[in-house]
Amino acid sequence: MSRLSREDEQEILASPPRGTFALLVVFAVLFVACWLLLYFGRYMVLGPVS
Amino acid sequence: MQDAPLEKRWTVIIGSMLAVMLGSILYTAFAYHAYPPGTTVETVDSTRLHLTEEFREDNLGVTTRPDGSVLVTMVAHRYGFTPKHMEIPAGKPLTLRVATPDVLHGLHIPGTNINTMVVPGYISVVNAVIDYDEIVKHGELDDDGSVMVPVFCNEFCGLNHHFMWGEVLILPES
Repeated sequence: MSRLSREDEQEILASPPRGTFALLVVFAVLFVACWLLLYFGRYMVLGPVS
Repeated sequence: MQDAPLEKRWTVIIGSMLAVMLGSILYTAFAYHAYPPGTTVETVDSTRLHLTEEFREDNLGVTTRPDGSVLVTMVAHRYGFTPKHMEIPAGKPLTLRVATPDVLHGLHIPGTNINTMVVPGYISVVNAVIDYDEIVKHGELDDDGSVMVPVFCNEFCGLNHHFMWGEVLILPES
């Protein structure tokens, strides 16, 4: 297993957390899709109430 | 301030999620009138409920108004609903008015979003339209097209809470 050079280490530390953003976007899309499915697919189809 | 762009991205993503969800709620509120019960709170003297004009026993039940909408007046009590059996047409604007002379009850009709607490001292009002195509999936379909669905109390109201139920016959829209 090769060790990172000091420059590589600095570059990684200075770069934005792309993996975290990817996870956040996936979570956000899934969360909103499931919420919309429940709201329009399970709740609103039963008829609006007020 | 080194992480400001990072914070902005998080904020934008979370803000977008909230915007989609709140936008959906607002859209259905304006387009379909789906919103929590109104701000007008109606009170009633629970100890004299049976003496009031509206909740007197012979005034309870289903009434069709001149405009074609349906008014249902019910009393939820330990341990049942009066009237226990009702016939309600599907597809028509329905106003349900429920009160209780004793303790806290609930009222839930499966296959609809009619689900309310019935609190002593207050009149619970629910406006709804029963969708025939949805209610068919949740009740017992008769040969004439009517659908029988139960009415449940879904707030624990005492030792015989589990015996507290009624039934509604949903009539087809024709």
